[in-house]
Amino acid sequence: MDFGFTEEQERLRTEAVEFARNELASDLVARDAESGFDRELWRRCAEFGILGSNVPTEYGGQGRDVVTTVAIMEALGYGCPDNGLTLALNGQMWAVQEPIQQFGTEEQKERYLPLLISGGYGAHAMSEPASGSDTFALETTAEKTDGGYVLNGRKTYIGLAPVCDVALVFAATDPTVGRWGITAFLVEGDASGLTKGGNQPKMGLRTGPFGDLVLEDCFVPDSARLGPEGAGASIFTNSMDWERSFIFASHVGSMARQLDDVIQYARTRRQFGEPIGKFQSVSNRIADMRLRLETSRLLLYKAAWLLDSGDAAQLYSALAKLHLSESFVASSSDAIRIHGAKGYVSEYGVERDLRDALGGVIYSGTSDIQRQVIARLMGV
Amino acid sequence: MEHAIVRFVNEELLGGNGPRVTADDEIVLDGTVDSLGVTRLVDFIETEFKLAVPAQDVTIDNFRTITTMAAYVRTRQESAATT
Ligand SMILES: Cc1cc2nc3c(=O)[nH]c(=O)nc-3n(C[C@H](O)[C@H](O)[C@H](O)COP(=O)(O)OP(=O)(O)OC[C@H]3O[C@@H](n4cnc5c(N)ncnc54)[C@H](O)[C@@H]3O)c2cc1C
Repeated sequence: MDFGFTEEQERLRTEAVEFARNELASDLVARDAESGFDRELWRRCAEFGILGSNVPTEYGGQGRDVVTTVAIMEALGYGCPDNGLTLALNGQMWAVQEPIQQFGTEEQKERYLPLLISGGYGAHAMSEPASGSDTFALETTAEKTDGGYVLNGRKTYIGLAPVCDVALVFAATDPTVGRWGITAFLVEGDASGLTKGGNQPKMGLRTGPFGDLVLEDCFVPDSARLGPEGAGASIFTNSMDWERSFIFASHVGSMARQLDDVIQYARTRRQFGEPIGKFQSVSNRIADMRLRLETSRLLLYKAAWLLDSGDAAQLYSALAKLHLSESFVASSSDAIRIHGAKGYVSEYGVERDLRDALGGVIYSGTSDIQRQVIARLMGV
Repeated sequence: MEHAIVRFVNEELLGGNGPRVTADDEIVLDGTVDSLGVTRLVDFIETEFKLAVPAQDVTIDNFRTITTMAAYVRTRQESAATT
């Protein structure tokens, strides 16, 4: 067992941190306040090779393994405090590009992977008004017709929906058999009958747009189907293994950045004639933040190692998702306490992390659902 | 093969409680085995019969009953043997 990065991985991480600091640190406080998505930052990430890191070279990617890609995404989060941007990047990479890589036909891979990794936008559209945690109770339908399918329904809270070039949409081709009648489709952003909703204001992660996708008699050709009819639930479950494992990769980097910040602050801020870090209530919090960071890293890279080996990772992806999301909330809250009022005002960006972190205990399956998955997979 | 799967469902998934399933019951459609149960069933099949079950093969045609699951496993094993 080796817990170290290779020299090459260290180099890539250093480059990612530098890139993030130099290219992605623009007017974040203002963009957060106005929920502004900056397409230019997305383009720079694509150009730097972030989106294509794990995509095979024949589709224009860098063809890196999962561990290396996750290491880069962690470094990106360390250098880039824009959690809305890094979440959107991770969402597209793990929940849109990865399923296309795994289940797409050659034609689909050639059509969508180069587009997405060069700065296009991909959405993963499962949630609906009446089916959130109960995903397979979805009501969107896909009726077979000559040469294709007609889709009808509404998808809600979808990351990148307002700007998407392609959406991975799950719909019922046979509503009488529940999860066994769900099929996955790649719906193009300009498909007739698809309406992309506007950017819905939210508590945190404001720099990553999200909203509804409405399908009204939206025709897609047979070639838009991803995988066989009725395999949509399994494709979705597989895509969740990836998303839950790695969507927090950059947030682990954020936790490392938070830790550096609070250590620095605890050393320099003085009260009662001493640096506040000398007070055990403060230093205990910092120790807990370090512990959360280390345990989060262990789970993140264990999941990456499992998926690199081609092993089933559902249990580990649920463990990672639960622990990383809750840790980010707890550490963001600790960072505010340590900074006092400076942590609470918007100007310094400390409070933004907590607002961003809270979304993580909801998306990709709530913490309650992850606990259920973990218990059930252990045979409870 | 059917026996091994029936035993797994009855003893592991259903914990030895309640009505016992048979190889021809439509256990994934009648609610006996739910979504997470399907995941465990797929894990069991992969480990027990030493084959990888890709997500696109987890369809109702292959998983309707234990009999169809066993038929799927046999087809996969035969095609592996001939390649
Ligand atoms: C920032 C953000 C980004 C998102 N991005 C996407 C996206 O890109 N694509 C997409 O498809 N969806 C996305 N979602 C939607 C997200 O996946 C759902 O919000 C989530 O699955 C929960 O569904 P819900 O909001 O309907 O809550 P509900 O399912 O209604 O749950 C409400 C509460 O009940 C609890 N609960 C529900 N069922 C159970 C149960 N069986 N046992 C115990 N407790 C239970 C939940 O834990 C929760 O506390 C996003 C959401 C957010 C906040």
